Amino acid sequence: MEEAEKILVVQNLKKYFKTTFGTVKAVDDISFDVRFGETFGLVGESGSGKSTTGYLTMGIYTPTAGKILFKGRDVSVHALKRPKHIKKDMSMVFQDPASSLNPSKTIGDIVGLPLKVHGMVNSSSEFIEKVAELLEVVELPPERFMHRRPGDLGGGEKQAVAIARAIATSPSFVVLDEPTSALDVSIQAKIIKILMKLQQELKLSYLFITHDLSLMRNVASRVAIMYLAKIYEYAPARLFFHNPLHPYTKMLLSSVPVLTDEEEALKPKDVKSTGEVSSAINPPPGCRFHPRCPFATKICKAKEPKFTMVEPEHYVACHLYTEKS
Amino acid sequence: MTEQALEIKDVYVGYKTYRGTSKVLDGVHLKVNAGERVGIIGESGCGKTTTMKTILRILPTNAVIQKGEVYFGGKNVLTIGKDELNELRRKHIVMISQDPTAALNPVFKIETQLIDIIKYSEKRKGKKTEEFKARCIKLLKEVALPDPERVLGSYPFQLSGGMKQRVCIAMALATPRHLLIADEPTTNLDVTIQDQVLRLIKDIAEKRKLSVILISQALGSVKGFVDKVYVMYAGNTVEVADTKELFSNPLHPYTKGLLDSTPKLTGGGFSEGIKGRVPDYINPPSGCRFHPRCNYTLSRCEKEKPPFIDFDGNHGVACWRYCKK
Amino acid sequence: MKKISLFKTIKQSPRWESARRMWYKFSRSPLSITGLVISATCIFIGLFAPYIVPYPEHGGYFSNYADAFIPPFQNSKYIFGTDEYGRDILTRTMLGFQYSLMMAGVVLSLVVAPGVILGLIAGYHKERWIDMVIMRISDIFIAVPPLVLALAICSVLEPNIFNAMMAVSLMWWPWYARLTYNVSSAIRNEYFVQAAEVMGASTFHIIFKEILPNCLGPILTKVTLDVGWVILIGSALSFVGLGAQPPTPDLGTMVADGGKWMPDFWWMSMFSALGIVIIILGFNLLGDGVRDVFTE
Repeated sequence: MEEAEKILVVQNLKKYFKTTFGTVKAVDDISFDVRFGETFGLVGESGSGKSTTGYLTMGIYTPTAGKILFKGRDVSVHALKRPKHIKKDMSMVFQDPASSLNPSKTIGDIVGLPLKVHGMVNSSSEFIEKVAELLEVVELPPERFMHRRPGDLGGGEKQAVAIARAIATSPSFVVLDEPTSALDVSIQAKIIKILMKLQQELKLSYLFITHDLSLMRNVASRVAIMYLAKIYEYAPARLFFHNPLHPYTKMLLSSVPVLTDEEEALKPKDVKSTGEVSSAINPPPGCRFHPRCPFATKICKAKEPKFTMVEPEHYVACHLYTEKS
Repeated sequence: MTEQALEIKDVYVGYKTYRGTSKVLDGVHLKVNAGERVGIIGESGCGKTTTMKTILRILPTNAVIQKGEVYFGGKNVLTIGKDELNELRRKHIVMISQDPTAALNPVFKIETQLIDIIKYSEKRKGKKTEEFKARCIKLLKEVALPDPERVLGSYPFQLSGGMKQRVCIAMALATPRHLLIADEPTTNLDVTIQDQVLRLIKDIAEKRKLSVILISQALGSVKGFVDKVYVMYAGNTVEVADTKELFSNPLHPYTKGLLDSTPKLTGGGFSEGIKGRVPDYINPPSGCRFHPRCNYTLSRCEKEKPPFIDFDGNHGVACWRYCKK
Repeated sequence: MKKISLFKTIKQSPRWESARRMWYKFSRSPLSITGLVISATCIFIGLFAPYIVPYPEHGGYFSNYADAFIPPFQNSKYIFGTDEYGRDILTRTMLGFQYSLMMAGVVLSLVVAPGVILGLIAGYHKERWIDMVIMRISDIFIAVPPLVLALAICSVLEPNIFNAMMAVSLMWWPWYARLTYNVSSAIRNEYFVQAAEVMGASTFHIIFKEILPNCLGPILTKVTLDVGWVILIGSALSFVGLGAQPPTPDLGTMVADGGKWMPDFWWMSMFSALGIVIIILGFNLLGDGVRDVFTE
């Protein structure tokens, strides 16, 4: 894999937060990359560190250790220290549409802010024109929405506004942090369709973060699963869902609520969900999943597993597989 | 106690706002037999929570119950006096909400809160802490909480989301009840925990022969749990059927749209979703409230509201397409 | 590219909608409306007092011993009675309103802007040195009992209404800094502020155009309630002789002057005291209403 084909490379990234309860290891030595034009999915539950990873790539947090390379350039610093042209090239859509839009501003102002910040418009009529174009791309008629406030909009419309704002500067990379978790299922479908359309038209690369596996199956080309600050399995989407290897992946898949019998048949039967996520302050020694793992052995409690490639592009960090190979 | 059934007949509820009256519930009906588990699915804003609040009469002050009856145990809940209403809330019907953090008082230990509930429900005063404590421990064991002693002595912030929800379930079932209303009890929880909590509710319901109303937006979680499903849209009951029947043979266009929009674990991309948005309840659409978003409208749909008819045995639907006239 | 016309009429603009919604919430409470009416009346009197009082010249040096000590409600010429110099109490009370409201106006104009700006800066840079510096300085001012501070300042400087206003201003600003700090440090962590940061917006923009508009609710509530408080403190200063001096018809001074004639000539203190009560009541009720508008 040519380095030039990767738009984002994350190497040994760590983020620790000091709190009164101890040091929270939110992200503890993860590495992955996102290729040009692909949707890379990051899956995990609460406490896994997936959202923190998204924030680290955008520069909302400063990494405690490790590197983030965007288009080959080292950007492992806080957003305020990053050069402006990098900020123009990456953007983010946040999890909660309600709080990602300033309630006291109009939609036009919200969507147009990046244009102003990066000096992309020269007059107010050009501003209105560009904002109107952006709103039309996300299927919100400008005449009706430009002058309204976020409080008047429904969840799906708010998220569409957030997307319009994210693509305003024609970035090449967008981090999507649970973009549809707060939305109803019928609206989710619309928003995802808009995102897919934009990806095709604008040649965007996405880092797609979610806990919803059914959603992930239909958007991502490659998936990584995180548990308690570490990545435990990566695979192309098809392999991830049809041949899950890590016990946690299987546990997560077996808990997904599904509607059809074929989906039911796809779910792994050998692992049922048990237990809860442990604390990130004192994660279990060795493999962090061992307290909940039905296949845990002595070595799992002592040593952290390393990655092995089980099939092309399919890596898993689990002692069950290291021994086999 | 003998057969207790809940029946909601033709309930109309509105909220007074600065722009006029918001006609949220537009003729809702529901029937739960003793020991039966019923699911209500519908998206946000369709009136599910309002309906549940109407049953317990805990609507906000600007709500007006315009019409309709709610029968429980042979009496109309909407017209009974304060004493009877309190008895209803103390002994018969209990509700669990979406956010366990908001349901628990942050400044009291779990023990205090649990004992308070028991004392209130059974109208007992005085100390006798040993007896209460033993009961609490038994309850917590029943909801599969490990280390009940520790949980009793903790404050809510020391517990995880899944544990808090289990505590709420324990509080709800501290005294014998007839009807449990679970309003999206697992939406805020991780997927693996959702599975566990739902299985727990199912087990307890079966053991105690409890009637349950489960409200959810996640269609899949309802499927494995309830006997009968109601579909609500914009304050109307639009379809009802036995679970299997509903998912394999949905009649109402809205139900079909919802099922289509749900992403499948087996892949297959996304549908178009359902066009349009949830109606403005202050000026709702004429006739069938779904008609602006429906792909199968007849000329009648805009003029008259379709009645709820029994299409096929246990399968009812409110749609002009299925009216023989 | 077709032209996007702005809203068809003012009535469709988002500001009008917000105004309507706010008025609806406000008008739900009869007490708030009462507060609004009382405050509006007080402001009206304060603004136009010199033009509407029956005896404008009674506000300064004036004596008419023939008409001194007339009790109230007995004489159509002097409805509230007269004081020891024969000056009409009604006139002087209404002129007193003017002084009181002027004091509130001046103090709040001086205090709100700096306090809010400092609070915003401290809130945005929470946990950094600038936050510590600003908030500890404001803590120092808050720690001193307000009246004591004002007394100390006024006794050192020449006692007049101007110095009284300066003293009150000096001890008032930290409350705004602290309030704004609390609100803005909470807003600072909202997603929309982070969105602005990652897109590269300047700190000035973020503080004043993203955070500040969302702080206005509590600030406005406090300003409204403060009118009453400032007037109370100002009257207290005049009462002990450190604010406005005779013959200025300040409400506090009048209460003090009339005090030595109690209880026989009770009306000299009573009406000015009532005046203070009414202004404070009016603005307090109004402030409660404003707070309800901004609370969900």
